[in-house]
Amino acid sequence: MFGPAAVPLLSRATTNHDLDVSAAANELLQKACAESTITGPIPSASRLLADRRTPGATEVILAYLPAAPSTLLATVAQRALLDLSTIQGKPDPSFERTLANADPAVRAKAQTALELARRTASSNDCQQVFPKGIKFPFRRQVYHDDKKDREITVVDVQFYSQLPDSIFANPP
Amino acid sequence: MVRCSTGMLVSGCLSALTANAAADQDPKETIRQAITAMGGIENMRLIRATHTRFTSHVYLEHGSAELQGEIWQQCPDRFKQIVQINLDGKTGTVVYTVRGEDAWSILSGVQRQLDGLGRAELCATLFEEYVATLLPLLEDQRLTLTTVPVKAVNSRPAHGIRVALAKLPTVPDVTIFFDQETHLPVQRQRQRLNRLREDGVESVSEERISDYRTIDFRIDAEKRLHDAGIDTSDASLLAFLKKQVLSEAERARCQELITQLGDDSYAVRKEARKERPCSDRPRCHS
Repeated sequence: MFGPAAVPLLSRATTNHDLDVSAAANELLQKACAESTITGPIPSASRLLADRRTPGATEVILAYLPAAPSTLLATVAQRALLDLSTIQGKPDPSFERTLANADPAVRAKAQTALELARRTASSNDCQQVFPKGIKFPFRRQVYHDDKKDREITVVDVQFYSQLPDSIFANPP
Repeated sequence: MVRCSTGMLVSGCLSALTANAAADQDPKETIRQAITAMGGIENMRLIRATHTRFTSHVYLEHGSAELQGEIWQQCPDRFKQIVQINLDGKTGTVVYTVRGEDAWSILSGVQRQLDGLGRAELCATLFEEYVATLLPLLEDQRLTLTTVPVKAVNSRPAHGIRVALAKLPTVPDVTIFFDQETHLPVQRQRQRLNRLREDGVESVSEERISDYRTIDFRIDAEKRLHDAGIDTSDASLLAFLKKQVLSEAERARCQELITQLGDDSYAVRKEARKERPCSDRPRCHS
């Protein structure tokens, strides 16, 4: 599947003067973007590869980074690279070697991405965080004046250092 | 009735046995124990915002309703809840947002600024969620903590801490109860601002909290990948991520398909849509 990989091409096509092309591109873009969410398979795959320190992960994520179809997915890839670049707080020699052996264009992009990831990690920009061992309640029962009002079951929870401002924006 | 009496008896005994111990305990020590039980202060400091998806069963006077929704929350003053309601086969969406001093709702696409008790109740909910993150109870100097008598929650003794926001008496106090053994928060209660009981007594909202699970992003990520039909072995993940980068040939084919979406020939347009350039990648190799 092209999936999210086709997003940049489809985005350009949405402004095509041919209404048939732009309408179809818009429709396909919606579907492709649905796969580009933070809870989609791409962030999960890159996080797992970084967390497991899978051999070959650095090369694959480096190659993916310039092709990331959205800022959100690029941020996830940058964060994975940042995690792979150090081991127990010190630079990882194997990461340094991979970077040194990479194509100069890829290396330059990776260095820019790493710098950006470091800045993001130390700033208050939107960033998903993955604390280990957090306990979270998945069930809540609400009573009003001793009368059961509702039962809530949590399906999924994600943690962030900060959320994008746009989420809380007042619609025009 | 019997259950109620038994509960009161258990509660009374527990209170008598543990009241002194509870009164002696520094409220902040109770909070520290709870933070440790929930994953530790360093972990808690990382979390400044959450996104939660949920399902809910609501009990109505005549029947019930099923809800599903999501909550974006960034304490202390940002909150957004999107709820889809299914009632008697009819569905609708309600959005509630708080952004600083602003609060509004959107019902069936119609936006309404919230003020008065509606806004106050929503802000009280946000304050309740803020104190429930526990860290502010150690760090926010505006909060006053008072120990309240031990009571039974789910037939187990629980310490209570009452939290008041100084200088803002319009925000109702929140009382959090912590299981004496696990130290985890098990109940919260506060006054409801937009309701008054028929007898004139203030209305109380109580939330019982349970089913604590340790969040492991690895397990969650593996589940998401399994749900998407992707194997989670190292080799499979590397191959999956590699496939996300289009080769030059694939880019060219994709561009060709996009152009064909507007072809003069209906048959070509139909075929291009059938090939769906962004959702059927293997065909693009052909």
